[in-house]
Amino acid sequence: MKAFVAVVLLIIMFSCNKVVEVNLPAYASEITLEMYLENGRELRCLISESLPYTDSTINKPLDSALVVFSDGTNSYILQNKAIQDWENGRLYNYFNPYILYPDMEKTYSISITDKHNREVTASTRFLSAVTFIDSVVAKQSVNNSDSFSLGIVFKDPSKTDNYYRLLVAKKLNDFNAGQADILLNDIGFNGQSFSFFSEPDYSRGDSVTVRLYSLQKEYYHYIKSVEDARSSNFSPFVQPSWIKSNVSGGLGIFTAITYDEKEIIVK
Amino acid sequence: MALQNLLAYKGVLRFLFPVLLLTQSGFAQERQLAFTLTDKNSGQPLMGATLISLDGLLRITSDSSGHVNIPAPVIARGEKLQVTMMGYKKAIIYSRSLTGQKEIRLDQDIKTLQEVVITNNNPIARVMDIQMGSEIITAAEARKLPALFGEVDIVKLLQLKPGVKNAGEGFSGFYVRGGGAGQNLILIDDVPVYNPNHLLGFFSVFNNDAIKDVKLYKAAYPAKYSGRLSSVLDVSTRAGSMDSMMISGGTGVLSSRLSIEAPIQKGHSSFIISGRRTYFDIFTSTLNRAKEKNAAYEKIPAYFFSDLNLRSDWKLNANNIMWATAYWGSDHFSSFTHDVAAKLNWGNRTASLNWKSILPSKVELTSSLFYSGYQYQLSNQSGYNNLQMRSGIQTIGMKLMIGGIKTRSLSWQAGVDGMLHKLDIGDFKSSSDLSGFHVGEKISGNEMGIFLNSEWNKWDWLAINGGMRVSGFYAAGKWNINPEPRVSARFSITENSSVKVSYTRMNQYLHLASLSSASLPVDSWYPSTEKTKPEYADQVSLGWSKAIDHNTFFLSMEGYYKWMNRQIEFRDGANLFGNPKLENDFVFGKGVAYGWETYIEKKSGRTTGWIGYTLSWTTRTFKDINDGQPFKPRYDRRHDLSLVFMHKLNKKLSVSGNWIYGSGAYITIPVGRYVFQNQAGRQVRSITPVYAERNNFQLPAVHRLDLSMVIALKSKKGSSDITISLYNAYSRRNPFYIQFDERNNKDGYITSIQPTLVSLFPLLPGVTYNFKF
Repeated sequence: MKAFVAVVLLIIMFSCNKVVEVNLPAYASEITLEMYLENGRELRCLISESLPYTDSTINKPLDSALVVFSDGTNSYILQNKAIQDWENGRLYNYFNPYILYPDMEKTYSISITDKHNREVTASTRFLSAVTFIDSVVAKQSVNNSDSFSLGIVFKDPSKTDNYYRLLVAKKLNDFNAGQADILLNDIGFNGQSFSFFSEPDYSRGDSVTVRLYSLQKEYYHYIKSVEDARSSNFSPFVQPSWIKSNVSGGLGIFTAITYDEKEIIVK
Repeated sequence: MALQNLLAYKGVLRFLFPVLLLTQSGFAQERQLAFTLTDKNSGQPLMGATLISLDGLLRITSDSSGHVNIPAPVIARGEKLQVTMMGYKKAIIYSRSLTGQKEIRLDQDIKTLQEVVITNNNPIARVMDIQMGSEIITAAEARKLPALFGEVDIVKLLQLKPGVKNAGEGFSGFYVRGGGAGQNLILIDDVPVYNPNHLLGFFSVFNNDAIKDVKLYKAAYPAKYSGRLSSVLDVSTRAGSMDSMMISGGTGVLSSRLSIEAPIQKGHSSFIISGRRTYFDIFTSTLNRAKEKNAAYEKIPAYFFSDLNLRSDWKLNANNIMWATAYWGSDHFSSFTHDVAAKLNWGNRTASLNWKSILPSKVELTSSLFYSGYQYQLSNQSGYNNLQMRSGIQTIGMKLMIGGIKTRSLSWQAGVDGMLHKLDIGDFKSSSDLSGFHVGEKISGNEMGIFLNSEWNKWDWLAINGGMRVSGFYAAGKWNINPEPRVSARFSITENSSVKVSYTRMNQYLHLASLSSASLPVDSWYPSTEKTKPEYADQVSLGWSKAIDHNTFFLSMEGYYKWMNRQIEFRDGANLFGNPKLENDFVFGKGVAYGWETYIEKKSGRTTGWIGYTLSWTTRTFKDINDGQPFKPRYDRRHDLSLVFMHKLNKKLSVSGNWIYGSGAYITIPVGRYVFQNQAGRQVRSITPVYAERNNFQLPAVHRLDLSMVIALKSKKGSSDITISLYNAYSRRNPFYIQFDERNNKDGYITSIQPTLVSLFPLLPGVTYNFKF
């Protein structure tokens, strides 16, 4: 449908674009948090400040904030320190070397206080159940025998609302590899098997990673609202979406990550 | 609930019953003889013809079926009667010559016919008419005015009338008095049309060659109409000629059209068939074929629409006529790349069979059976993945209407109608070689209505119209029944000016679920259920109208206030596709709309046209949207001005133009942003917009001049012309929306964000060749 709208607009309309000055309504910046709790990982997060939309600064990390992580029993202070996640190509600016091992019974929380005494808080839990990938198969492309698509199948558990994110790539940080990145909820296939074929981006001998995230409901809605907010910026036909954040007093996401991963060598 | 509503309207009923009783007594006063005024050539009934006795004591205007009723004593006295109608030769009839007749035929006046722009209602007739908040436009008028790409669209012409706003520049979707696009009841020959648009709303489904006229009701809806909150657009197709075969058509920049009409049995029956088709796809497929050897070439997607109107009329005898109509429309979009094949098809189908009979007791009986259906299908095959989406609605209905013959003081109408709806909502099928799933909703609902409408105008200074409709919807074993009172009155101040007031209530049982602000083919209709209650609206209107300068100008002013309840929107992040229960993503709220419309129109002479101005406000309030605060919908436009002129220079040349000005539309733009990188995947450090209030930004005002010239060509047989149009003559860059472009440096990092105003149409010329023989 999006392609249809885009093509129609392109063909039918002799549209003109003109750079304009826009006086945006006043905006008070907010603290934004991005933190993922992972099994066997240190504590790390990205804390920044949101900016007026047309501000000349692109990114404004928030320094010198008091960041306290708690597992309900113990508290850990994250230091203001730049950290590079080489595997996934991500940056973080607060860090604590404490290695986290999930406890499904615990509620994890974080509080951030900046030098202006603004405070944001968030809490999360690990999902008690993870959906596993049933199978991954490689199939020759219909149009080209040298390229392969990967077919992934998983079975959605019934009785619960489930949310997923599926990534397929040669390497998870290989951003130019034409990887698949799809967001799903089980509203249409609750309790059934779901299958998906990637684009035919792979050749014989390629090692491909498939990762299926089982998402918390708030993480799913957060990513969905971010995607909708981005797409509405470029289409007059889409109603803008407000960011659904689980960070109280600010923006962003604080969530626990669970996933299943499989690797396949294309033959 | 229904009982409570009835009790709530006790006051209205108390007012209504005396009116109905009075009309009963008026009906018994004098014997009347009924006649039908028709076009001598085509046999079509003529609405708005005026019949007066030369002593001035009798003055009657024919109704929508061409009917007039003449008191028997007038016939018996042998008076001279004059019959006039714009575009027809004046006829003088001796009333005794009508004895034993049922029909009065008028001959077209070829000299004036081409000048006829607005027929039917002259200014005094409109001043005296109790109906307020209505507009009538003929197909002839639509042909005279400038059109985008030269493609005549009668619905776009309505957007030049006060109180009617468009969905965006070039769109044929419309919003009436602050109501939504899905709150307009759109009828073609009394059959509902569920998606009135081709090509995302840039063209309406109405082929001007098949249309006789359109009537738009913005308030004071006659009780026979129901089912939508904001307006009724009643499109009438024209009957084929009962006299001789005629072929007409035309070819333009985007489409060609052809109509064939002929008598089946001369003077008794006829048919007309009109079709049109666009031809983008012919050009694009030729280009694709020429480049198919280039492996890197991405094919241009193909798109076309086509539609067909059919109508056949039979005069069974002087008291019985039958007619059948059908519409078939279809849009096709297809895109084929190396790995992906996508198709989107949608279209409406309608059919009706109608019978009108004048019974010996002078009661007119109209009955009809009809079908209407709309469906879209979207399929996407990408490698081994197959997706299919489908939604649609099918309706089978009947209407039975009975009307008393109009006398000097009374007319009445009663009827019953019913519709069986079958809805296929959000049918979603996903399959691959490995597995698949299928989800969707199938819901049935029955809609019914029973009504009584009576108009009483015993005295010249006062006319009252009282109506009551009881409508209901049956779904999941439960009836939801609601009263819909309609009351209006006209007080004459002088012979050529009057004040009018009205109150109406409308219920809406089918709701248009749309995720966008434009009219898209994937918008779905959803019925009322236990959770999704019927929408309803109350509207009050107050107006003043006057005929000026010997019936040359018509001036009117109308104010209105409308309360809209149980309004429906999608919550943020709603799933339109693959959702087994769509209504779980609905949120409910209310709206208000109010405004003032001023309209002056020149009805006759070589120069005709109008000026319309609307000052209006509309807001919506939803608990789950905008933090519960009221917000303005996109189509809330404070000022809306239209200037329209048509001038006949000589027999061969006529020019026309329109200039419009409208306050800018409201859109939602982001106020803030931040960087979100996600845990893994290809979205790295991308800009996330932060929105605050809904529709927090007003686009700059829109203004545009369109011009058109019609050159009549010499033709040995029939007639032909070339219409040249200039859309947006001074190439104003009217705002459509604002896009925020991200500017990147050579390493791919975002360095700045630039707001860009996107406008659609610069100066666009259009040429159309039209013929008729």
